[in-house]
Amino acid sequence: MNFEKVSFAFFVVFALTINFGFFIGEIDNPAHHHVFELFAAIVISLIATVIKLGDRTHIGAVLLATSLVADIHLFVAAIIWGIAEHVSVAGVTPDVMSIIVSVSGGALIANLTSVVLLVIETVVVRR
Amino acid sequence: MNSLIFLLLKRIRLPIMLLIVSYATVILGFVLIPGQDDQGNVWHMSFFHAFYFVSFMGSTIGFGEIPYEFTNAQRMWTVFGIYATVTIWLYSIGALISTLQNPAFKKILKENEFRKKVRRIKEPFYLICGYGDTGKLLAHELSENHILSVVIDVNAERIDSLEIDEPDIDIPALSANASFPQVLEAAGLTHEYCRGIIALTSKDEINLKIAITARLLNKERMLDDHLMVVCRAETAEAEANMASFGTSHIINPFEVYARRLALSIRSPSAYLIYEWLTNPYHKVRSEPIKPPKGTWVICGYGRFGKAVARHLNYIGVKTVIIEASPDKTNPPEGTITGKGTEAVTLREAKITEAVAIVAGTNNDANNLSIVLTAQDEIKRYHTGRIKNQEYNDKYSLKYFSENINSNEQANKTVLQHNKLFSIARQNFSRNEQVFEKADLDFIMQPAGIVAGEILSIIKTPLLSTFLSLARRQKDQWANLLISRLSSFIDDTAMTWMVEISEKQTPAVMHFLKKDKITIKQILRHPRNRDKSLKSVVLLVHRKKRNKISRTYEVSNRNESLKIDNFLLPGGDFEINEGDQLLICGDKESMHLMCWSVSNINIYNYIHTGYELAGGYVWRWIHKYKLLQQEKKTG
Repeated sequence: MNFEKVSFAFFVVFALTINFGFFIGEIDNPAHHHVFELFAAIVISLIATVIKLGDRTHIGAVLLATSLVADIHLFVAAIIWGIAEHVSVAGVTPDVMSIIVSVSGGALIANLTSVVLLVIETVVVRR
Repeated sequence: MNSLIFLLLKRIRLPIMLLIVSYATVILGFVLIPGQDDQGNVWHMSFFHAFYFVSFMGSTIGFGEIPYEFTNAQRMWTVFGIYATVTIWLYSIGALISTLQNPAFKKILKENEFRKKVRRIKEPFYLICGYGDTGKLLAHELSENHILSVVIDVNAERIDSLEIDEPDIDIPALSANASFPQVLEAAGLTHEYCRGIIALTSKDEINLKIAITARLLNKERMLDDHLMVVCRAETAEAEANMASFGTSHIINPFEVYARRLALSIRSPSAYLIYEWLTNPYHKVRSEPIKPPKGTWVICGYGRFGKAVARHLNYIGVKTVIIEASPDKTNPPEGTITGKGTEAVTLREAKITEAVAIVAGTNNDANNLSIVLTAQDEIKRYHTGRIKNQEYNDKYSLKYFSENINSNEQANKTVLQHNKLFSIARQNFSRNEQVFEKADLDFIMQPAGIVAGEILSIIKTPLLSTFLSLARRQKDQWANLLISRLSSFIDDTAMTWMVEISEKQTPAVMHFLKKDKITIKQILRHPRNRDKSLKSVVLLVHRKKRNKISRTYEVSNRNESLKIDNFLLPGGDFEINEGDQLLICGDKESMHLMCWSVSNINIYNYIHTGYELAGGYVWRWIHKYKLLQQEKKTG
């Protein structure tokens, strides 16, 4: 067991769980999706991305790619939220909320892939 | 390139992570800490506002407290935020810069650039391993002839000097160890446009390894002669070793020079031709230098001394050898031990009876000292003898004077010159000025010799064939050729090669299908066909595919290809398709000839005497006219 491996798995799994936490709930109910959760999801996802940098293996490259996909999804969700809240007159309506949550759902799939790959790699290495 | 970005990212992973964490903490803090709006109500910053504020705070831009003035709690958090984010920013930028300036990173950067440059090459090039005196000379000569080269040297300073020199062509260069196969591969050893590998490092071992690598990585191309491997070798063993696995050309500067020296003694005219055609600067000297025949003193019995002594002895010139450490070099009997820089040693070697001195040690200062001491010694000897003679005349001592006179007869050559024929070996090109000022007849520069040989191999491969054939001819033959060449070449002699093929001489091929073409015809002047170009065909190289012999000797593939060489063919020699012609002439003739053999209209004039009309209509009228003429004449 080494610290690098622990932190790696920690952040990869954490990104998934926190993303899931934001995603779960009625899709168009703003009360079920808190902005702090989205913020945390973005931060953890970014850290997970940075941690994956520099791995030259093939699986490392795929892991990085999934992380980047998750980042993009979450960024898009955050930008939509920001625009709805501060720029548009209507504010965060259930319609907008459903868009935000569905986009974060995409990030969830990407993070899920990431975790699956992590598990596969762990199984293959078997150490 | 990809790996480069990853390497960079890996190195600055920690700073990026710290940035993310600090930003997240500060932003979260601003969102959580309650503020007040302009009416005094409790107001919470949204993530958007917090991110906006932290962005300009962290980068020290500082637009102020927006959208509402901060409460004291918010200000406290701002103080913490400023110190945290600004410090981490500075640290990150520092880490990024130090990574970029890391020597290892820079090296990878350069290597990547080099690989990319080599990969993008779209013209034939030569790979030069070793950028010492020889490599430098060769690379510059090649670039002047618009031939691209790629340079590798283990010494980074030399590669830097290449960048400072600024040759005409951008030469990709890398400082790396050429004995590593992956380095050679990166430098384009297996590149489809690589025409040859030239191993010029100072160590025979490394040259050998380069040759082996080239051979093994390019098996197919080596067999088809698409790839040339040229090696510099300084010992006979290395030479034999390289030759054993099919290195195309092995150049031993000492051997080459000794052979030339022997040639210049045996046949000065042949040597003049040699120098005329191989000298990259093509300076024409009208009178051949004639090294005297007599006893030669050779200082230093190293690789150079051995080669010179062997070649001189072979043509029957006596040699006396001076060697500083005879136990190491195994010189022949009668060798004098000493450096040769002292007058005593030279006197012991009977320098006054010798006609020439060869200073061939591996120390430039010693070589110059040897020559100067020897020349002084000769001068002193002569002034002494003249004084003796005066003394004898004065007191009419006939007996002694007679004795001296007979001695004088024996040393007639020495007396005539009153000077020693001196040759010195110049090991480093930086000493060039000193050597030029010294009163030397020949300067032996290993770098120049190797570069010249390789250049002539690359530019005119037929030249070495011609020269080896010419070496076997008699002095008379060489004299004739010289008089023929010097009759029309004033300043510079150019040698060039023409292959009779669709690619190089489309105009000639057109007529060759219908007619016979002789050497005399092809050398006609394109402006006035009654005159001929100022040039001579030195050699015609004809490859004949002999079908009968091929069936017999399948095992030896060289046998199936029969090669005929015609030395100095006469004017009515008929040219065949596929012949390679080696031509020597002045610069203008070269351009004119290249023009005439490739332009069908010009060649038509040369061949028939009629100016060919360009378009269909004119050609038709021309034909019609010819028909009319034929009718008239019947």
